[in-house]
Amino acid sequence: MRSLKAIIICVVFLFGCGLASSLYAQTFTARTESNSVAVGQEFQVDYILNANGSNFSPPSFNGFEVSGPSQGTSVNIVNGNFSQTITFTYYLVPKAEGTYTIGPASINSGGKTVSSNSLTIKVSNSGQGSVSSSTQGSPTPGGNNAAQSGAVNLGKSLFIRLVPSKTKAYVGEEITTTLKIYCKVNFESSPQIIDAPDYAGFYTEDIPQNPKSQEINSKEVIDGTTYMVLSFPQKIIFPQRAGNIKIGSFSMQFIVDQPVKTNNIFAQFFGGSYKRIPCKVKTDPIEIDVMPLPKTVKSISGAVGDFTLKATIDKNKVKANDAINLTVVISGNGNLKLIDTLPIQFPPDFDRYDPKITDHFTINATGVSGTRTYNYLLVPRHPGSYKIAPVQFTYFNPKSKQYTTLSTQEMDLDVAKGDNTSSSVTVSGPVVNKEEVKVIGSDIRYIHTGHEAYYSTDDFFLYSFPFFAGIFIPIFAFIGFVAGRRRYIDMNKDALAVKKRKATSMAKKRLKMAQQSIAKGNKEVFYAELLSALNGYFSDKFSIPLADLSRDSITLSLTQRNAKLETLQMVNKTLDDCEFARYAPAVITGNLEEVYSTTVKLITTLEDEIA
Amino acid sequence: MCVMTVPTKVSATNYGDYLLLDSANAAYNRANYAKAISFYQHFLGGGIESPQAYYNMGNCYFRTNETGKAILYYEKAQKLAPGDPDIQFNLQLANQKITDKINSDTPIFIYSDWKKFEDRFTEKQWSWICIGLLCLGLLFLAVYLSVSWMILRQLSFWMGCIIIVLSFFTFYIAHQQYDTLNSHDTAIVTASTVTVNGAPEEKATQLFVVHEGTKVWIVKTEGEWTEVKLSNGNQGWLVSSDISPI
Repeated sequence: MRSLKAIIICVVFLFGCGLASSLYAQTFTARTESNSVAVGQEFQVDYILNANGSNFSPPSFNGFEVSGPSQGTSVNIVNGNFSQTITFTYYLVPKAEGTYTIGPASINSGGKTVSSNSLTIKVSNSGQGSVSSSTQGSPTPGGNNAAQSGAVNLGKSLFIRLVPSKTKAYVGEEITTTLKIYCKVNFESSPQIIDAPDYAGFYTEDIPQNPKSQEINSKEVIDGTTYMVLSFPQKIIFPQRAGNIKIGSFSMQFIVDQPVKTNNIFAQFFGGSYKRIPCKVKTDPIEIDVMPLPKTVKSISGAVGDFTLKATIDKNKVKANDAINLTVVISGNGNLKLIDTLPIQFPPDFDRYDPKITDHFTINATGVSGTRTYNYLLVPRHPGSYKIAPVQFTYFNPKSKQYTTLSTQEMDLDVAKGDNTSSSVTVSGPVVNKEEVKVIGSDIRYIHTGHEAYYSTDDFFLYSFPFFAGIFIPIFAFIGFVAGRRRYIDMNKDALAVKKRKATSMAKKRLKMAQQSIAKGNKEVFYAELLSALNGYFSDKFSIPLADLSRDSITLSLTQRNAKLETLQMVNKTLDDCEFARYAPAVITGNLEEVYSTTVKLITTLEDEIA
Repeated sequence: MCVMTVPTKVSATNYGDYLLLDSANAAYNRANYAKAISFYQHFLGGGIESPQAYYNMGNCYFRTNETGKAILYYEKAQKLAPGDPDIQFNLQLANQKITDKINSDTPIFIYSDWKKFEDRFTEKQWSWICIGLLCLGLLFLAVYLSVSWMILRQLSFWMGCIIIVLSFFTFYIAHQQYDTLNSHDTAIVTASTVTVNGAPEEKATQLFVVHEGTKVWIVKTEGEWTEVKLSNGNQGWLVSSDISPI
């Protein structure tokens, strides 16, 4: 820079400097980049004359430490118009706070003495002067930027900063760090790196130093001072854990050209003479605030960035035991290298091998981008048609602050029977390879979805009223049944006893009716009455219903009751007579009265014999 | 006149409640477990016990990795529906996930088989079985009394006697189930790590540590402290809020 100025000055002198000096109105202005500064903060004051001039007399910079002036001249010839400016630059450092007025400077130009305007500078104590810094994050260049070696205080003429692309990031999010050299002085190229920070807590990826794009020169204004800035992208870093992670200092050694005051006119004329001083500078340590990834129930791959997913299968129709290639490609930018193996659901009885991973990355200042390819080799063992489940890939997108799940299409696969039959020709019988049912995973069973019954908390059936009712109603019913049955039996028993008891009197009553028919001389009716009286008697006496009564049952009952043989014969004879008379009444002769009395006698005898 | 209050079964046709259950199940299917749990809790709100809702809540907690609570709700469900195979399966799976493996005094196989037999039916079902058997037994005795055919009489008499004895037996089982339902003497540790002390004080000797999901038996309660017993017989005091009774 300084050499440029010297050349310009040379050119001006060679072409005659006073050539058109008084053609334009001269203006002489004082300019500062900042009207309010902090104590100890260096700032720049320029005096600019847009003409040729001599005998520059500076004002008294009371209350400031002064370095300078450095003089610069520029000549422009545009479309034949000649213009020239001379700039005198001072660097001032305020000593105490307060408001200072820097008086006008004067210069001789075109035979006149021209005065500049005066400047008012506000000096505050806080060190928080107007900072027109265009950089972010890193603290104001402090004392530790100062040259450590050599007696030269470079102040703010040269310092370096390590600038991350962001100071707040998620775990796994990529951050680019850039080393920036801020300078106002010349230094020799290829400064030496003494100490680089270890990026503990980060996974780092070096940015390859491309000689063409290595230096990015720009200008930045910090605290009112314009700096030349050289940027070197350093590394792509991926935080590996949450929390505040510090990155240590970066230190470099420069060889600086320091102007030396000299009385040598010639040297002054060519921009002064310079001393080469080694000087060590250090960056401030920086801190990155790393946020943890939000919790999610999805299975996450650890990927952070922006990706796309593609899965292809090399063939859809294969024979059993032939290999298939499944290729899954993740492309995009982010921490591709840190992506875990994708959990792919293959049909369970496929043989599969660990995927081959191929990476194609490009690393530059904007981050890591490229593709990661997983190559799965699958061997279906059994024929059939299978489906390879969609490959799912979940990553965190730091821009949208959300998880994104990418999914591929389901892939169909037809497996035909393999031709390895030659190996099993020797097997004569039908042999089937049986396999155990493989347990692929265990999980809880599904919820119950129907409408099942529910109860109130204190609802118990046992000991409740319905329960007791359920117990006692059958018991009472049984007791009632037993009691009812007993009564019925008793009653029946009584009825028979009564009939038995009344059998004789009933028989006699019926015999009376027979006697009446003797009086009427009705023989038929007499025998009928006699038979019914006897039958009724036996029916009642032996508790045999009339319908079941027969000669045999009567004989049996009489024998059981120990009747005498002659009585039995008499009963039979009487019954025979009655029946005979009923069917052939004309044949019967004899005294009806006698028959009647015999029968009455018979009944009386029976009464005695059978109890 | 005497009015008898009968504990009524909560109307099972209350459609709104089942709507709540359905929406909880829908939330479960969308993996929105927190919402599903709150719906189930609403459904269970006013003194209702539903093995289904408890079981489903257990599943929700299992999915959100709160194993202790999952076990608690599975146990609650199992208490109400002891024979349900799904509940048994999930409870067993959840128990595999817990830290503590306490060697219990292995119950004699007859006892465990007996317990399995008891758990085939609930208290209500056993009560009904008891009533049913009683009726059947009495019916046989009635047959015995009314027929005269000798073989049938003998058969029905013995059948009647055996069935009535069985009815008493099922009454006993129903009573056991009733006792189990009424007792709240078991609890599940819901805090992740709990130190069990020798006395109900903060500064007492620390005896042992139990972890989330472990089943404990409550011996007694004193203030904020509960004395518990583990299945291996260890006993000590812990803060009541660290456990949830089943």
